[in-house]
Amino acid sequence: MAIKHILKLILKHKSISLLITLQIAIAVTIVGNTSFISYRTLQNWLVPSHIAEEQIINVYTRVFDKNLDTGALIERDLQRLKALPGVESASYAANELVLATVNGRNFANNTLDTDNQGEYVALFAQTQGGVETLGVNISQGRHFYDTEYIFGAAAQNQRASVVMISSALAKKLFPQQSALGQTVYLHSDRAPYQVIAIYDDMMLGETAVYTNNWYHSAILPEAHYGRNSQVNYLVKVTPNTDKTVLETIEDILFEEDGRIVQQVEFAARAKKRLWDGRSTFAFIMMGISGIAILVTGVGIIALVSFSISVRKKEIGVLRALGASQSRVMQTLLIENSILAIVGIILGLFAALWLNQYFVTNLRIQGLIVPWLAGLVALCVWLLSATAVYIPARKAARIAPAQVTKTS
Amino acid sequence: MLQMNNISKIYRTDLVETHALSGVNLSVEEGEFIAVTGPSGSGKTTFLNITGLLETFEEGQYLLDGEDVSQLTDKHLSKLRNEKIGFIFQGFNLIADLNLYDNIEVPLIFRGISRQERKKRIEESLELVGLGSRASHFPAQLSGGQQQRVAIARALAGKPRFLLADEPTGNLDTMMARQVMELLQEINRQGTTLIMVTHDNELAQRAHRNIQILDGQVSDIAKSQLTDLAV
Amino acid sequence: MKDALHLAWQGFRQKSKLTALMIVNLVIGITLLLTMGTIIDQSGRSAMSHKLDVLQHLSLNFMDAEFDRRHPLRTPPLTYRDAQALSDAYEANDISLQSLSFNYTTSFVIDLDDNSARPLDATGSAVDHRFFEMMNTPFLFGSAWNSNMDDANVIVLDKKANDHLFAGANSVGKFVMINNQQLEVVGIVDLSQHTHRFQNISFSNRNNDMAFVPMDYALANNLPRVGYMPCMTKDEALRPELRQTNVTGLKSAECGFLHAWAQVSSDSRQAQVDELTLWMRNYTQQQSTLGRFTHSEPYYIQSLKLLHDTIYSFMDWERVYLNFAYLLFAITLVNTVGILLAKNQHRAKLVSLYRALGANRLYIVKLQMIELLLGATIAIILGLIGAQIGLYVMYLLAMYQMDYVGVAEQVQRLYSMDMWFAFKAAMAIYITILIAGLFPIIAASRIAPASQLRG
Repeated sequence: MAIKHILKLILKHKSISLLITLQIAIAVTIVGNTSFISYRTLQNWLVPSHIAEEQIINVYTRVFDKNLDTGALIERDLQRLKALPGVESASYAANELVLATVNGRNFANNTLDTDNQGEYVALFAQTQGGVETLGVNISQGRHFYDTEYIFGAAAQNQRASVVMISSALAKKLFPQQSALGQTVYLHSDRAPYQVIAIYDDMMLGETAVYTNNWYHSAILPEAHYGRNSQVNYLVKVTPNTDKTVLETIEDILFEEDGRIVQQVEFAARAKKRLWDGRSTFAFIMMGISGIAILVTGVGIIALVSFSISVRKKEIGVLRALGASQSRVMQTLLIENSILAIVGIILGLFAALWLNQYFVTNLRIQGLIVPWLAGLVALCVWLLSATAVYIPARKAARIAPAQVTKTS
Repeated sequence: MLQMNNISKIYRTDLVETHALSGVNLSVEEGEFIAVTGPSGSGKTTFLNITGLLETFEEGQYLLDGEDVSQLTDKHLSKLRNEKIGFIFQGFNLIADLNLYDNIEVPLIFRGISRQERKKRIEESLELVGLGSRASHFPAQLSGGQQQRVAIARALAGKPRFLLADEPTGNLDTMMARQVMELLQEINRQGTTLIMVTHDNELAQRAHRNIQILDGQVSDIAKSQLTDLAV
Repeated sequence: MKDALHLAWQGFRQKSKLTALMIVNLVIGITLLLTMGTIIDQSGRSAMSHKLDVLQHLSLNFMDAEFDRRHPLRTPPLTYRDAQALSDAYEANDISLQSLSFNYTTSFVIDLDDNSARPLDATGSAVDHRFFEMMNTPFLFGSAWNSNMDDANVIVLDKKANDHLFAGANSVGKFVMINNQQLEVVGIVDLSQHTHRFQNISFSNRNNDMAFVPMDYALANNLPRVGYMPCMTKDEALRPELRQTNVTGLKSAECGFLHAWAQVSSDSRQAQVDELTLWMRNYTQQQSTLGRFTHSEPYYIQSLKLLHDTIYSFMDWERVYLNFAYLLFAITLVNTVGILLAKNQHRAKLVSLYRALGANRLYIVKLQMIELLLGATIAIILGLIGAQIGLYVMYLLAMYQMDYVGVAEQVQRLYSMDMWFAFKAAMAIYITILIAGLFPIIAASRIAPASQLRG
């Protein structure tokens, strides 16, 4: 039959056609949005971290015994941590942990002008060994000298004078010239630090990543303690170290009274946490999409079965008039494709509308990706074709001889 | 034009084998009008289906315009049905959801005939059956006799080698039946071969040649014998 | 009836593929609907459902005129001096309430003298003795401290803390250490029934208080303020030290940290709320002569019910899921109708035979109804089972989302089906399926007797 005849038949069987179209539209709406959201989540996941996620360990502890000498405790802890088998290096982390911002937001400035908020930065304040633990690769400049390290109680407020910054931050703060030798202002009091090294980009900061500043970070040779009860460490272990090392670390740190170990985790776990909310939403949407696809598939099979059972005689006539089996199949597939295409177009519009709703009301990142929309359309069309194939094959087998049955 | 040699058709179920046709031999010449009669269950319908390429058979040889159809694929058989055979059924078998024009057009589209040619043929054939002005009507808006005339128009539009009519007047009252029969005879007079299956002896009388099916066997009979076999 | 059942059963088994398709399709729709419906239902539930209207969260908005509360769960807690004033008014019977209680969220490490268990990092609340009765905290052992002990060295542990420190044994009378001070355990409570930490209006569904210490003890020993603590701009810079160390400063600072809850009597609810409102209005007006309470909304009085409604309005994602679930259930209904129509098409002959043999239309409707009920029952039962699986998956996802820091018992409660809700939902689904099924059933009953019997 020609398209024209198929169209006429579709219009004659309005309710079934409408139902099929509607189902496909709804499936496209749901699946379309899911893929936008999932794609965005996947993109986030796929931003390379350039860090040894399974080697760097974040250690969170709290000193609750106020009579404890925290400085001495930190030195004892570091010695014991470094002595553990498999540990390459360890360092006290006074401010930030890898992909875990524990002490509030930090900004880096190239000016003292306080109207300028500055750039989000993951600010690592480390003792010796911090640079090695993070696995920093210095591309320009030099390493910290041992004499540049400051380690003391927060109350003494000693400051270091130098800083290393990531190449992304260097470009952002000093787009015109080399950052090397420039002054960067850090902390709320905007203390000056001279840039002595620029290192290759790494994803290090939780708040920085949250604000899409994937690779903004800085390292200070300045480690204070005692501002609050937190005493945190960064540890680097050799590749392929078993995760029992986490427990070992917890155990030896617990041996010290007056302190509690809150968590010991690989950086990979902290990285997972970055996307927990969005990925969970994506997972659930994927589940609902799967269900939408199943239901639509079942629905098309059911409705097409019904419409074929009604048209059994008509199909027999077509066969007698010279329609081959493949032509009957083809006709039914074309008929369904017309409905599918209308449904897909409607569904894409509905998906756009829903996406708008998500983005404005639910703060969900899931901007429209045109090629993805195309892919969804194609997949849904394939789904509907597959679903229609089952009853259509049966229809094609209707014997032409059935027209001669007297009725 | 049409040559059947020793055709047999057996229906098998778990328990019994039914010989619907056994060793049918038949030859049909160009321009003939053949009436096939026989009582219920004699194999008439099977004969019709095989002749119309609607069903396959187990044994024998069926030559259509010299071409052996026994080993052809579904696709090839469909093509032959479409090009060489014009069907007229007892139940008309028009597509209810399409208008007359579209109904006639469907088999022509299968054949890949151009739009203009289709239009010409549809109009000609509708004119021939006297329904030229009703092209945009739907089957349900017509009387039974008119519907059957549309079916005839559909069969003729394809310029088939022969018309295969299955009880063409079975669902019609006497008046309409006569009109349809006269139309068919007229078409035959103009040169189209006509094979008609019927149990109505009166109709069979109008044919040039009468064939009778009894217990799966086909034989020519004289017109005078027809009355005896009335069912 | 028996013969009708038999015939319906046969009809059910005819075209078994279509029947199976119909059930599968309904099960999918019901599973999703029950899963999402349960989550919304559970989130809207309160452990205090009988007190939703009588518990009122009180706030005196001392903040700057430009302060933007953003949403009801960010209502500023009371400053120390406003809490004092409110407490005095209550003690002096200026306002008639059933009860008035204050609390603030704090955090401390609980240790044992004999080191028999590792120290426990606990977020808990500093509360007064009235808190327990007001919040219906279920005591496993012991009881709340007495009215004269709000400054005593005592503690009430939650079951989770007791499990960790004392392996679940009755520890009433034993001692724990906080900041090198001994506190006597007077009671053990089990808060796992409380799906939300509503006492500090954070409504956290991840975890709840691990321990409760007396309010005056907490202030005297400077247990830190770790909850929501907004400060007026002039005191903003001091906030870190006011949280951690400076209690003296805190008592005079314009920083809110005390959550006040009033319980009104259910009989004279409105009268007491009105009286309370009047007091708050008068107080803020009187204080405004001192230059305080410049905000256009100087006080808030919010019932627990209102706060729960706020939580519901925050559940955007869950509601999106629920709406999708409704949509997909609607589709499965449409499919069911389609499948029933297809089935009927196949057996029009049978129905027409029944009619010819003398069955009236009602009988045909009855047959088909029984048949549909059979299908719906199977689908609902399987859907209920499916929803259990669905809820478990959602629970796992929720724990994943919380990075496994949530308290499993508390989170799981949000993802477990309530029998009464399941029953109501199942009934509603039954009725919906039957209504949807009416169209094909009536269509089938319209088949004329013997109309399909020729040929």
